[in-house]
Amino acid sequence: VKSQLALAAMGMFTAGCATPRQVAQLRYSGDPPAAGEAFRASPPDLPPVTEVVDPAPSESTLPNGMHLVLFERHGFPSIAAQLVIDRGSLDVDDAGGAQVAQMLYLYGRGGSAKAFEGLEATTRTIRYGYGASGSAEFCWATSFSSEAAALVSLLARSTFGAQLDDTEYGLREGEWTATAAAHAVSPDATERLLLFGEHPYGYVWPGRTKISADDARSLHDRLYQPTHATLVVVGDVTPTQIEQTVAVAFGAWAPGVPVPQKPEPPPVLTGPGVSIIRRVGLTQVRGIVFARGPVASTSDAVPFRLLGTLLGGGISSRLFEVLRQENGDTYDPRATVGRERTASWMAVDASYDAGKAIDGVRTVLETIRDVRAGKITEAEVSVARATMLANWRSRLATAAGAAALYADALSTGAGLDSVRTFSERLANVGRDDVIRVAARYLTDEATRVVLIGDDRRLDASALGMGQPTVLPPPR
Amino acid sequence: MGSRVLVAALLAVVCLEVPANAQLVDPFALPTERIVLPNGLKVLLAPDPRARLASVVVSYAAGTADDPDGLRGLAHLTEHLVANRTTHVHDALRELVTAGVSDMNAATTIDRTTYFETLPPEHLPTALWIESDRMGFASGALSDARVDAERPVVANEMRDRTRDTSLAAVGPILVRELFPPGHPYMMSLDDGDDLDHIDARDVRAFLLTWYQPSNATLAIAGAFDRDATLALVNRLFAPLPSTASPARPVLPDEPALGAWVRIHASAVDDHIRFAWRTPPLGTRDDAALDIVAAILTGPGGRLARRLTAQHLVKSVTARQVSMLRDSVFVIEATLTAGADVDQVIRETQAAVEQITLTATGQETERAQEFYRRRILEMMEPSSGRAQLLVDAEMSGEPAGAGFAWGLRLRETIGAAEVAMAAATHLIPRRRVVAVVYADRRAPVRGVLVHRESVTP
Repeated sequence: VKSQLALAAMGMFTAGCATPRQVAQLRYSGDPPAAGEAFRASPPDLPPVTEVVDPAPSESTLPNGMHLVLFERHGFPSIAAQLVIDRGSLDVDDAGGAQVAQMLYLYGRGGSAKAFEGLEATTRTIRYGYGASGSAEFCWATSFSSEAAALVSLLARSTFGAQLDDTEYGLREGEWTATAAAHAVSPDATERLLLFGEHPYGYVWPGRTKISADDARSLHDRLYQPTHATLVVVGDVTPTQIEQTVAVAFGAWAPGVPVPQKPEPPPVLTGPGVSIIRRVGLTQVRGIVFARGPVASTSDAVPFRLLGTLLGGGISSRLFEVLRQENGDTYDPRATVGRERTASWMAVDASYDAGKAIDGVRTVLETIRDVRAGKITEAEVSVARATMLANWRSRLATAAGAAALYADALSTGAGLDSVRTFSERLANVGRDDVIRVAARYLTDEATRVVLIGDDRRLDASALGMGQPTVLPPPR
Repeated sequence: MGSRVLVAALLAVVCLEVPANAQLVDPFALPTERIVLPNGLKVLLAPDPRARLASVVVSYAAGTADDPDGLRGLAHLTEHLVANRTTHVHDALRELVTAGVSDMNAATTIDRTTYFETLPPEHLPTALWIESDRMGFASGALSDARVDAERPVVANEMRDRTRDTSLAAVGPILVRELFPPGHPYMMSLDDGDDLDHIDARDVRAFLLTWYQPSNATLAIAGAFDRDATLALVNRLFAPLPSTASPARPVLPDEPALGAWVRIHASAVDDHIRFAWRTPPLGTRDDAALDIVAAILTGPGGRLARRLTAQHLVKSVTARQVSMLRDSVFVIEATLTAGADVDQVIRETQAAVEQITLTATGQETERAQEFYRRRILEMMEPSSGRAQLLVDAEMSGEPAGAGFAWGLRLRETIGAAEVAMAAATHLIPRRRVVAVVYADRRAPVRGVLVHRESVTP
């Protein structure tokens, strides 16, 4: 009855809007422009591009073991910094509880109301944030270069300087359950759970058990140590300036007992071939095809990313052409490669009309099989290479983008130089490499599918990957 | 095509290390230039030899508000069709990828349709070649078959971006309360249904009406040679014929009447949205309301502090949504579990009423500082600079005023003017309030369950 009333009310207001909108009349008569001058018929030449890379960084280490890396740039008065803690859930055996995520949540406002007030006063001129993967924590900030000292101080106060007080714990711990519940039903969280199961990588946000204040403090102390930390700075500052500022802000950070980095990859993927997250009432179905890939520090890493770009790296990718341009099944098919220190994965994601979802996902699976079988052209590989190179240039064009690239290279173990040498390494990847990594990592056995939508309208068994497992609706 | 791609990619490994010599740069003093071609096209240039990439933005002053009734979605469908194929450019997206494009897309908003791309400076001519064909020769590549093929893609995008998103119904419900009947900003979640009625003739008419040089702005920013690029712009764009776009109907000046609506939605948290109809983009009060928003919920904002100190909200944001014909001032709050909805409403009302009485100089300066940081962030990439130039042009910036204009305007607005703008426009009896209750049985997008007018 309630929903009928609601519909009636909705109908009433829709009827109330029947007045025609006042817009200009379109011109239906007029001569369409004839073809233009001859020079319009062919594209301009594409002369060679000179890549712009950062000079080698200035590097130094504080007496407490914290590492500092500075990439100087003086073309624009900005500064971006990323404090990378290269230990994470993986290294403290945080499986299932997501205690690292909870700890970060509790410490995110500086640990106390007073600290939060201090952080807020600074954030008028400094953009600031924090986050974690399964193998590292990040705290980042960007601002005018004239704010360099305040920015470094902010990073110090919000990381090693943060002290969680009981009042803050009391305020924040109750929020965790709702926050975790919201994240637990997200496609990303589901994808991670299906990819990594009970391994720490499976729980970057959602968690099952609530952390105590003392455990949060202990975990913070274990992870936030100067010997685990590298501060990457990109921007309009000099080494002398930044070294002095960092020494003042981080000099008092006392070293503790280092936590060793765990090198083991997560166990081999198991679980159902197809999972459906029941979401009744959606008009579309989100379909994600995913599989695990190589570790970022290995020679397969760049070919695997090139494979992802070829499949669904934006415009002119294979799936963009087939799913969007030819079939009109979806607006924005995307393949992305996620990376942790000891694992990576590819996810091919698209939102389909409900009636086209199974066909769309089947097309993705068939396209992957085609690539494995060598059915790709040199031209496609070149387009994918051009796309990756353009994204690399774009990210390097701003201090914040570059700092994020360098931080990612550090946290995944690829190393800082992997960013500077990226264009050369990419140029050396060929069609055969792409086919090889597709055959190695995107096998039928290793591939999984998640569908998010109304399971009653989906015949997922038609994918030929066994009976689907239907996961419960949100909350 | 293939060999051109390969050559470009192989040659792309030549690397240059940028020297790190310290040199003071004032981004707000970077030179900008405004030129109007004889056909009416406005050209905005901001060359910077220290930039790494070059960006192009072309914006047409026509958007979804110009869709005739019965043809909703026409502006968006036109954008899709023009983006990839025109008379001389058969696959624009592939040409751009080959040229190393990044930050490339097109967007249709209420008032504008914008195409944008960023390239290595060596390949800037490719973007200008494509944009000139989009401006002058899009009709020649149209056909009903292409419209039929693109229609489901646009429908898919509209469903994905509107119908299936959390609280999608709230916007259209508020719009119906804020704008008088017949206002072109009126919208509904069913707008995508009109796509089936649009054919190539309609798209051609939209192009003929709105995709005219005199109705467009071209901005180029970043690493490019000013003289060579201007010569190319003249060669590609100056010969395009232009017809003046029609005048839009004058809207009756009817103020919004206040209303309360209750919505149920399958969301995690309860949610409250306040909205007022406010003056359009480019007016002094539009800028003043930006400052009001920052004072309320920017860093250290009085409303944000008030609500978070009492642990009532997870987030609260105020913003002035600036548009060409009317703007909307919005405050959105997502409540913490168990928070009292009525208390959040009372606290928000009190904070808004306070600001109509007084805003301090310190708060105003803090808001201006926050705005300065946002502009600076936008200015670092060349794409942001090109977008800023177009935004300034659309908001009626004086010719050649440069990047600092919007900032300088806000710096001339004092605390008294901020309070006056709030008092003039954020009037309780013209406020529309939507309270969204989390209800797992309701649709994700939300459904209206109750409405009442506010009695003046």
